[in-house]
Amino acid sequence: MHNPNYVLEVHDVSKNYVLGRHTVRALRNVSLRVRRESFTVFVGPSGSGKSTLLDIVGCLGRPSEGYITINGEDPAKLKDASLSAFRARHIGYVFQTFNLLEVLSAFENVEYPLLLLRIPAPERKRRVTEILDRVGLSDHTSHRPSELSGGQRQRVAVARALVARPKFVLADEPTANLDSQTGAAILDLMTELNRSLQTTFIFATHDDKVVARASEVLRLKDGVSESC
Amino acid sequence: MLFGHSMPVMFAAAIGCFAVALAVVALRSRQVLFLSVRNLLRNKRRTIITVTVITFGTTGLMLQTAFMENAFTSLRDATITSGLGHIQIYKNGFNEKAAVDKTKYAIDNYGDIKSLLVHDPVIGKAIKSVTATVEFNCLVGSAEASAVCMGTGLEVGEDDVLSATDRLVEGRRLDGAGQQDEGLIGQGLAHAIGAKVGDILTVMAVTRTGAINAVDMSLKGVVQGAATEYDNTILKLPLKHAQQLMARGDVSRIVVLLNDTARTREVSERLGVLFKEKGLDLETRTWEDLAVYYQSVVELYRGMFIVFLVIVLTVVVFSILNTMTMSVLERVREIGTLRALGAPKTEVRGMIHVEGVLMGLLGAGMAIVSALVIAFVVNHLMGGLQMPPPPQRTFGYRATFDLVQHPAIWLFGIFTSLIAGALSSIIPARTAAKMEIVDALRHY
Repeated sequence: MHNPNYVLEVHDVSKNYVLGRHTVRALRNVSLRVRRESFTVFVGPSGSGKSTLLDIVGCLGRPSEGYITINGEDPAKLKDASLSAFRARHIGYVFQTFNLLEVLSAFENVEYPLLLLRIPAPERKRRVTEILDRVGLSDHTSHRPSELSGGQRQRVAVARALVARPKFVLADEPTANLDSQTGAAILDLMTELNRSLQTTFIFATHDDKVVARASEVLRLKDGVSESC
Repeated sequence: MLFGHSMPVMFAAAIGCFAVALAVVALRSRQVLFLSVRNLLRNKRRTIITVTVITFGTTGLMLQTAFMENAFTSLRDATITSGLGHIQIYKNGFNEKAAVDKTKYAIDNYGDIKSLLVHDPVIGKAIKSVTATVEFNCLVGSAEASAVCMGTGLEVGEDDVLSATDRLVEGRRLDGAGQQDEGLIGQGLAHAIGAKVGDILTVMAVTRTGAINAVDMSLKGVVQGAATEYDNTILKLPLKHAQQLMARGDVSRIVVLLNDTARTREVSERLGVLFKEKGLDLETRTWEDLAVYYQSVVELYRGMFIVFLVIVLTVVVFSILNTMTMSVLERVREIGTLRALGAPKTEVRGMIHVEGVLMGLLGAGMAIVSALVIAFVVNHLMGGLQMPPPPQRTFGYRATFDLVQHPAIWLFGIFTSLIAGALSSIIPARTAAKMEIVDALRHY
């Protein structure tokens, strides 16, 4: 039975990888729930399985065992086209390496998820302009990623993650490639957006500064959750 | 011709399909089209080199096709105006049984038939000339020697039109002002019997009743035809003189020459209707049915063309494939990002296909321009390319690139470029779509 207070539920998820003749158990029987509008952090050392968990939660990979539900829906049954549409509608992504499309401007990068959702042009323009203004980049809309600093690129990535009003935003080490000052500014931005837009943020990190801002913390070690 | 009548329509339909597919993509997934265009502009040098390869390949194909069309047209016209005509009319059964006895299948109301044709409201204006012929095997002898020959009795004055390919080597052509006993022979035959203009030759043949008959012929001119075999055997007499030799008043066949070769089939079908209406026991053959040498040359060239096409297409496709594969491998993480954001596999695949087709389209446009420029230089500034005589032919010709006259070649060029772009994108598109998102996102 789906509890509407939780946007994400992970039920006894395990993930195994076959590497040559060996099987690596990246996740073992992980169960958790992420509260709506929370600022949740998956924390753990390298190899703890937090990125793997994020991949599964983000519907970028399927668990070997167990299942997840997002807003009460189990995406496991969806075929590629439906699953892609599900991601576009419900999940935003912020990557460690920004992952902007180099051939598009800042405006076009942020607009892209709305094109996938077939949002009409006037609405697209309004939303993109608004979110770029929110992240402080209204003067850089026509700039290509190569013309932006690292911090600015990550702001564009944050804007892109939020423009479609997803159920939650996943951020895998979003400040790892930024200097401390810029990283702090990005964290401030995300925290503020979490509050003002009531969007759930789920981070994977080993940075204590990020953990300090979290409302919920899940510790992972060797693929096993230690707390929820 | 190289392309059948239905091919231009098929090319146009195929190009239309590509256009519709692109339009659908543009309308339904605008982002696919503009990402494709942006990706092509990402590495301009590589795109330019790839498009240049397509251009060269397509230009070569178009010029080759135009050259062959010109060769076919030249050979066709030479064949038709070597006495074959566009359409031949015979007594029914002539072609199956006349080998045994031609005289049994002769036409004895030639004048009425000619009048019927030239006054017909449907095809009358399409006809350039109608002439009757009498064919016979004969022996021609001079004071020095004699030789076997193929005799033709024909209407004086019409031969200039019907055998326009024949070149007058010596003397003058047959005309209405001349004597009835004047005649022409081929150059090879003249050499064989040591004859020259002005000589009196004896022509001997077997009449329809089996008797041997002979007439004198005053050699008025020596001609050179398109084929060596023709030169070595042809002998032409005025129709009445030939009928006198053969002791007959009828004719073997009626030869129709048209103003426009393209109307051959139409006129032939109309003749069938006319003959049926008038109760005439006649049949027709078109030049396509009769020109065996021409058909075999066209088939040979078609086969050679297909080999050439496959080679060029292979080179072009592999060039584009190489470029697109490199482009996809450079964009692995970007493709992973697109998929993570919600682009389905079909969209990623579509993006790569559109890139390939767009390069093909660009290449086609540049190929048309470059082919036109080259054709202009060769056709108008150089006056064509001098070609040697083909096998069994006596003289060569000036070859030109008949590009403007054949829209099918343009359509073929565009179609080939688009196909090359589409084919070459299949593997890279599949590679891009099959990538695991997680692996692609972490690719360096």
